[in-house]
Amino acid sequence: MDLAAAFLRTAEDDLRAARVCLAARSAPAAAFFAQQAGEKAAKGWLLAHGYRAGRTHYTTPMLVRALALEGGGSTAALRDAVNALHDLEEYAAGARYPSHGARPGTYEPPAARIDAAEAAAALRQARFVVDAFERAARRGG
Amino acid sequence: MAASVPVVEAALSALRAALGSRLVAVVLAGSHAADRARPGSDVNLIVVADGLPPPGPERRGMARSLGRDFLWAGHGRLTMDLLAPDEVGAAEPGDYRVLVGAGTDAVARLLPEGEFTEEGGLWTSRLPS
Repeated sequence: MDLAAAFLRTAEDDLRAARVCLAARSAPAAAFFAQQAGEKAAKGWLLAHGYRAGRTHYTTPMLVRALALEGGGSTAALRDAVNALHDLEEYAAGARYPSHGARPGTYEPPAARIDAAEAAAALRQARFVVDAFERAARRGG
Repeated sequence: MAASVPVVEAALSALRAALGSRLVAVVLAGSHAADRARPGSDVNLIVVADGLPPPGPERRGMARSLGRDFLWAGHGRLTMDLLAPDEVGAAEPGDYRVLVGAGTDAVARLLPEGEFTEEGGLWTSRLPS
């Protein structure tokens, strides 16, 4: 298995982990794994198209640059997925740390901000993102 | 100087377009405020505005929408805390630059102490850790 395929497979594993966390009523962990699934699917697509994946949770700037190079067809197909991944990126840190995104001077654990409904929505977004990048990686678009 | 960095200028323009006269204060945080930004670094802002929806999905949707537009314009990632004036408390220790609203009550509550100097027309605060 090449690295791109391994990232895409890992994205599916992270989706499964997100579902397990959601069923266990750990909404922030589910949201975090949803973000992870999207990130890894995006990295799989980047690698499959000859780009570097980079050691970052935040792949959307790289995706925008890569799509500009790939041309209009790829951008049209993946624009909604990049937007969904952009929204998931706030969970990379926000679902794990109490201070992230807090009002200055106030603190609360992620579980006070991310409930089951939000985590379920994040999981649906992640499924959409993973499917979009998997399809695009398979067809080379 | 951080405010003359094109991505910071672009963020400020987007906020002015979106919030207009409701904008009370904009404070730059993170690597751009500390002059440690590298190409592609996120732009991190604390934004104080009147007339925001209450904290929750609608307000977060505003921030996400601004962030998406910023991304597709090729500027990278824009993250922000959107706050109503009565929600502002003291910021965490770090480097900050006041882009809009120097001298307002909101900024005084956000940056209540530390070395507070004017550099090139920008108020800069380095809150002690």
